[in-house]
Amino acid sequence: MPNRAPSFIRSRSHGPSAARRAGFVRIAGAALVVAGLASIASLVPNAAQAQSAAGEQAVIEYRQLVMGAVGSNMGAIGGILKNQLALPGAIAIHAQQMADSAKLMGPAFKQKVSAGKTDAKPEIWSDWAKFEKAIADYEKAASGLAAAARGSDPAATGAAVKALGESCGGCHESFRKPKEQSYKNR
Amino acid sequence: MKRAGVHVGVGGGVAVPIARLVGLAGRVGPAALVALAGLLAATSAAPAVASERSASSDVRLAQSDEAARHVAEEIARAKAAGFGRTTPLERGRRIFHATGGCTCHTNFPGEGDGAPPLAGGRALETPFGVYYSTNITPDRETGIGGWQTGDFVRAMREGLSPSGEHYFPVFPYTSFTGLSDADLADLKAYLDSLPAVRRANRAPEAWPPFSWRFVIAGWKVLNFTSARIESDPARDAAWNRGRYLVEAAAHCGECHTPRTSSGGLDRTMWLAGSKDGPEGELAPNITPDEKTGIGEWSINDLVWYLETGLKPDGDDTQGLMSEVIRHGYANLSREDREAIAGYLLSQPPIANRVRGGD
Repeated sequence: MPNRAPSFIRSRSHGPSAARRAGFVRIAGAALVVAGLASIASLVPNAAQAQSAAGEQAVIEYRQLVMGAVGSNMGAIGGILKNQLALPGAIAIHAQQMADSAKLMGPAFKQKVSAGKTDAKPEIWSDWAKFEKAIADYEKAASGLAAAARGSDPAATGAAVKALGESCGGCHESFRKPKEQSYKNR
Repeated sequence: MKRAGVHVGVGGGVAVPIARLVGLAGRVGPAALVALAGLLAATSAAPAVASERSASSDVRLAQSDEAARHVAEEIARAKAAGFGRTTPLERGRRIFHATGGCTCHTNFPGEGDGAPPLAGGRALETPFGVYYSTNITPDRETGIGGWQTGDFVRAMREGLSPSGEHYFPVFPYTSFTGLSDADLADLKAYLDSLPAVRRANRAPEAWPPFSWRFVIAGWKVLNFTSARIESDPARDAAWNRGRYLVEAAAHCGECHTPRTSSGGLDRTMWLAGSKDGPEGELAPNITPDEKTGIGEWSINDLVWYLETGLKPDGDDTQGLMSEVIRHGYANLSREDREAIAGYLLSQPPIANRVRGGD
């Protein structure tokens, strides 16, 4: 490291000449113009940024609505079974809706948005193939429950509900932040 | 008086109460450090106290009018409920499931679903270092196959090994102390029927003095009472069964109750949730408070939850709770799950919002 002061200090130590001052005014003027242009120009990226933040929030909200509908169907199935509600055929319909919603999940999560009010883990995008596999497993489990519920064996329905619940849990374990890290608990 | 006659041990914990003590020290500062110093000072007198205590415990174990009467009552109650036709192994399996399947003794986090069941080695991380769960398979050398039933009872009730060493309270003997003689004997018989796995226990990788077992003698003086859970005659059989399951076997309070500065359970906040649950998990408020607890859950909701891990809103369960449901509570009888649910919902509601991430 050579023991030399930076050039602006050395030049100041000599004192500014008139030519230097004139140069400075020209530079300062140019700088003002540039800054003015930049501030106008910066409105454009700011607007784009704001729009993309709003867009990201909309993506998060959409994903949460899709997953919320899945949860509502699972809750409804649980409600029917645990309270023995007389709703013939309802479990199969709820299960079919859950199977159909699997087709919404891939597109809903395709865009990487992992910051903000979301519990989506970055692993969704770093291991997209595994995420898609988890969705496929979930779809299979939901279709399995729909088929079992159309049959007449309550034990088969019970087992299919558990299997479906485990597919939810399996995917959540890998791809959803645990409650300790949830934005809801911050 | 719901809590009259409840004599479960206080303190202890799935996640090393001493660890919590340090966690608390970090938060509340000097006062807790003074408490810690006090605790350590108490241990200098501890060996004597401990031997007195274990002697008196032995007397209590051996002295048996009261215990025998209790066992007889319990057997009568079990017979009345139709359990007289079961074998010790079936009854033992039931208690095993009521504990949550002893999943702390299986190294799921380290070895996945293929971890050898109950062979120990699960790392329980604490601010003092890492404690490892032990091998409770019937392997005679590395497990508990060589133990007599009395050794097992003493470990579960007094937190003492067959050679008289103190167990670190990461092992929740503070709750298991409430279990009955008959259930402990059956549980040992059931564990003995499972496959033996040869795997040596690992010493804790903790710093002195927290790797010294005698320190625990002092901790016990502050936080542990060895006592059974007696039936409350003013309550019905289902409620008493629920209390027994919740407070002793299922040891719910060990995770779902916050700790005091000395690392014991804060009984004034019984089951009201802890943000310092085991393995760093957040343990929710499970008192029937409507806003912050499970006050809006019905008995059916809880029974279903304990069977499937699915909450009323359809969400699933993660973490340790999902393990103890899958390997334990899901395999209980419906009556036992109903008893747990009924007891939990009969507890006084406590408003306490448990939040993590801070």
